[in-house]
Amino acid sequence: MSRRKFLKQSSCLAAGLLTYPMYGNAFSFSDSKDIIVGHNSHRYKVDLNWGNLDASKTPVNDCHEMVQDSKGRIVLLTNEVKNNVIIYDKSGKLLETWGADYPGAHGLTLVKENGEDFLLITDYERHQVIKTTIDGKVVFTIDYPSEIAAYSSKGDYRPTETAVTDNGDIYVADGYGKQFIMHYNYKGELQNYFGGVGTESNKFLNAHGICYDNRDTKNPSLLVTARELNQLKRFTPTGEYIETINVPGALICRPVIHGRDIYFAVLRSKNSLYEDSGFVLIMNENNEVVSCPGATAPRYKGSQLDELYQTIRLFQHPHDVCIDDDENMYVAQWNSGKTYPIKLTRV
Amino acid sequence: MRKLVVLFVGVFILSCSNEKEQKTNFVQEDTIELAQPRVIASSRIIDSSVVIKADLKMEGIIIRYTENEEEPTEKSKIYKNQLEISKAGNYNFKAFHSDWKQSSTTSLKVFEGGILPPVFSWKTIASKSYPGQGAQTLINNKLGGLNFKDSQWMGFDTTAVAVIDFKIPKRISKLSVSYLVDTKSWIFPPENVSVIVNQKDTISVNIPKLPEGKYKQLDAVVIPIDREIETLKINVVNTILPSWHPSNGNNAWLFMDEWIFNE
Repeated sequence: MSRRKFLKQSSCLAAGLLTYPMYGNAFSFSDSKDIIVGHNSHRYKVDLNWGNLDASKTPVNDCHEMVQDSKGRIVLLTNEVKNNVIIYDKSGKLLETWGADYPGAHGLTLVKENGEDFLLITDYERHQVIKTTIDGKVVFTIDYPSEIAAYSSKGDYRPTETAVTDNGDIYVADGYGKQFIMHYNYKGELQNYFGGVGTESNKFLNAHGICYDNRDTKNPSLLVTARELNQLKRFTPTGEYIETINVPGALICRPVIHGRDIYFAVLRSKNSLYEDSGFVLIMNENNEVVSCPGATAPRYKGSQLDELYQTIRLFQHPHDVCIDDDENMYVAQWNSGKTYPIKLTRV
Repeated sequence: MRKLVVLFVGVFILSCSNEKEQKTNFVQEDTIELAQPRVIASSRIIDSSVVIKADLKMEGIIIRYTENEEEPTEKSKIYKNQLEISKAGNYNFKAFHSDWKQSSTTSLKVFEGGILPPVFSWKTIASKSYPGQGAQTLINNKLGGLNFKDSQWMGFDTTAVAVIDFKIPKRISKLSVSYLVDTKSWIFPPENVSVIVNQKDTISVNIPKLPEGKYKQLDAVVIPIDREIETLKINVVNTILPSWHPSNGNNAWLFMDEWIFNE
């Protein structure tokens, strides 16, 4: 029984058993033909209407990333400078918008400091990382790392993502620039850097996304996507390479840890006939892919994962996912006809 | 108080019974299209036989195909195992599933092997970045894939001109010029192919313009010749990016992988 059906039935039952036998048919969804996407433990119904707004008033361009804030609101970042940040409730109702100064708005990370929410925005056109309050006041900016020899001007720096540790340290992935990962303290002072362009195990082709993985509290680490290589790479917080997890065929954008699992938007399928061939990928804490909504079911031969690819034309170019406290997922898409995010309701 | 309870129960029953009529927010079955089947062939030029494999890894999928250039329908043959074919032509594949809309068609053009001219001389030069595998690339009996970086592709941003000499007269029925279309990468079909037969007659074929869209496909134009040939001067004219393309007005790229001369 779906979560939605269960809730409807149980609320009616809770209100009075008398109503149930008499109106039992009213709660039957047997004629419903909702599609279900995904595999194994992670299956979803699809709502394409969630969050749709009047584009003449609240337009989007690329919907790049999303997070859920401490109040449970869904925060969307778009590179539409009329309203770079759009804040929804979980039902998709518009709550507020702000931001007109982020033409290359790309990465969005929620930072919680002493009970207060902040945002880290990476803007690859401004060549900056900007820390703001949750309502858009700028706290500080991080410019290009001129201390590093590889960076001769701000144009070399096109950051795509940030990650924040428990003590407030910030990591910046320069995914559209020189492919280095920069490590800053909470004040934005450079501490270290690692990575760079290359196919070697400790380097990247398109270091597009990064996250701080503290699921193992004793051994926290960093996860970085090498999108063009279809790989997820793990490093220590000081930048030593640990391991590579292959996801053949999947151009994974950024890792998003929710509970014990990692969720990824997949921009497109590597060997597809068409460009808009993206999907969503979910990996468990053993680094095994368990579900791919919109794509082939994950199948392993030994430890080798079969190539993944899109099987239904539901998504175009997924760019980020946000999982809310009900385990539902929001999928933000790049270059997808200026469409609003898609909501996936877990069943 | 009693009235209130009755009112509450009434409203509640109405709200529940109306539920059935409420339109679901969720996407329904048979509204989303399947992805196209993946089709691979051991070769796209028939020597003795070619093996074709089609796949879309999804539970409940049925792939149907045709061997006569027609669009597959729900009555077409079901693909079960790999096909071993010995006839040139267009092979079309389509995926079907009870819960999803049928896919678009994946087309595979298989060419009849041609004869190789003993003399092939280029009058223009391919781009340094996309030289293929040298001067003989277009008569090496090998075709490229969808990736323009594949070394079977020769790329031109100007007209491509070459002269073919068969040394002794040969009856040639047609010339197939196979090319890549990848509009995002500025790679378009040629605008025109003309051949000058034995330094006298000119046969010219215009290729229809692509309607607005995003395309990534393998295609070919067939030039009917049907005469005794000693020499052929072949001109393949690249096009200009059309008004609907983001970089309109620039020269489009022309990527060719083979010229096939059939007797």
